Amino acid sequence: MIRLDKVSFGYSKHKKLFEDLSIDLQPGHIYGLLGKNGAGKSSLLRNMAGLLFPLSGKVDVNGFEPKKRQPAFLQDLFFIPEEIYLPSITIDEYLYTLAPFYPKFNEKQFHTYISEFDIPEKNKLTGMSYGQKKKVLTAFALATNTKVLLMDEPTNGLDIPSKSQFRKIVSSALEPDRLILISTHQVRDLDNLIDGIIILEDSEILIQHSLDTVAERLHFGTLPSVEFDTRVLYSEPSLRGYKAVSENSHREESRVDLEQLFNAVMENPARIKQIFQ
Amino acid sequence: MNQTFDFHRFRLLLRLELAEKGKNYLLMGGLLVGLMLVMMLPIVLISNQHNEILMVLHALALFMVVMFGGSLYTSSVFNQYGSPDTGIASLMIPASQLEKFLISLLINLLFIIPVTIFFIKFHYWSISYANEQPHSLTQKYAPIPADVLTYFIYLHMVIQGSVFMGSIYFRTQAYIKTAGILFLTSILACIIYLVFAYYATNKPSKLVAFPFGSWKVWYSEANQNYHLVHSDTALILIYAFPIFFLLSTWFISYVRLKEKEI
Repeated sequence: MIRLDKVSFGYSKHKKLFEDLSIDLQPGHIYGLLGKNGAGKSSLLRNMAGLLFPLSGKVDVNGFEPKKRQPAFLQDLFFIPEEIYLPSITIDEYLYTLAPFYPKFNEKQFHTYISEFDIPEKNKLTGMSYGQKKKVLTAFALATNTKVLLMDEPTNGLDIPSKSQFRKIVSSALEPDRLILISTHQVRDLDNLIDGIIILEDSEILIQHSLDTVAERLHFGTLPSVEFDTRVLYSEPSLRGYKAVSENSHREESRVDLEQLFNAVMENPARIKQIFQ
Repeated sequence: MNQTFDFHRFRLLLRLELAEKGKNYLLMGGLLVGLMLVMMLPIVLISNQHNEILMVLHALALFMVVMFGGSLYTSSVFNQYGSPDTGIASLMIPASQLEKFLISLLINLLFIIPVTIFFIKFHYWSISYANEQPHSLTQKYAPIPADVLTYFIYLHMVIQGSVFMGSIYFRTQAYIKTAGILFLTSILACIIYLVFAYYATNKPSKLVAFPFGSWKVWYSEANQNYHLVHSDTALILIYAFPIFFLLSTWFISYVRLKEKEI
């Protein structure tokens, strides 16, 4: 559904943000795109949305070349940027003017999300707080039922209850023919939400796997000591010893801790690549 | 589904544009038309005396409202593509690039053309009305000469086209940058044209020549003056240039919108 083949992109030809990037994302999954600030997550999403054009390589989304920005492509892809814009109109007017562009838009679904997000419907969009605006746009994006939904830092500006509402609503909106890709640097916000992970660092993808595969190859747990354990990729002190990420050579079951996984990948990129080869 | 142009999508886009920016367009349009009336009505209302200043106000309305105000209005047509948040929202609307471009053009033309026509009609009507008043038995108002007005209308087209293109070409301070370039280009064109005319007419004692206009030449030694006008064929080419320029700026704006990256 989203296929990038040796894509290179940069704001100048001499300084590339990423080079020869290849990704294959399938429908029916919620992917998390992680990376440090400035790693190129937003630019990658914008390349997929047709807002930025690759310097080389091929981007294919739903069978379309995004840079052409054809109506049929845009009808089946919704992009929520980090900095959002909503016009100075009411929610009803917003629906009246924008929803008809999306053939699969479901108004009932939208109102359900709005009420779950606890948004007052009669207010003007510009009179709402940043978090409320983000929730309105998220509700709208989910109700468009586009095959591809790209979200750039969607939990920025949301309070703690809203973040769990967000996770609940987004996970309920996943359909077998839908792909959701969420980019964030707040890895904890993706806990219990994503089933696939992509980590972008230093112009390349360090890891691109399902969480099942991650849990198969890495073990997340607490160890009394880590000093002489060569399997340990990353550790941090905790009350009962060390919270550690280690090679799962004994095929033990564990729950993937996204934050620890991210830190492990950042500290040992070469070894992670080797483990996931 | 037609990926280039579809009337249903175009109608939806127009509805969206009016919902989002309709009030702004009305306010700005109303302000400019109001200003024009303030400058042009006194010649009709003050019917007991002849005053040339009232005529000057008409010329000012042409410069300040039709040309300057109109270009200010035009500079806002692609405003939404200027900042990342509004730009992304606009580019991601499921409509073709051509439809998005044509909406901006339509909104612009729906204001610029009626305002220009209104100015011309109202100018001639008000002058003729004022000239029917009792004070006009001794002195009549002279309307802006047709050839001068035609010159300014064509100039107006060049300005509108440039500002239209500048509003999508420049990301920030589009109006100031476009006005600056236009001003410098005009000065340069005037100087080159004047120098060319000066040498082509064998260094006369006095010369009046504006780009694309006729030449007025005086030779004090011979005590002769000449008014050199373009041939009919040259006039057609000269009048075709602003139209060609306008169409070119529209095309470049369209290409620029297609290539817009945010």
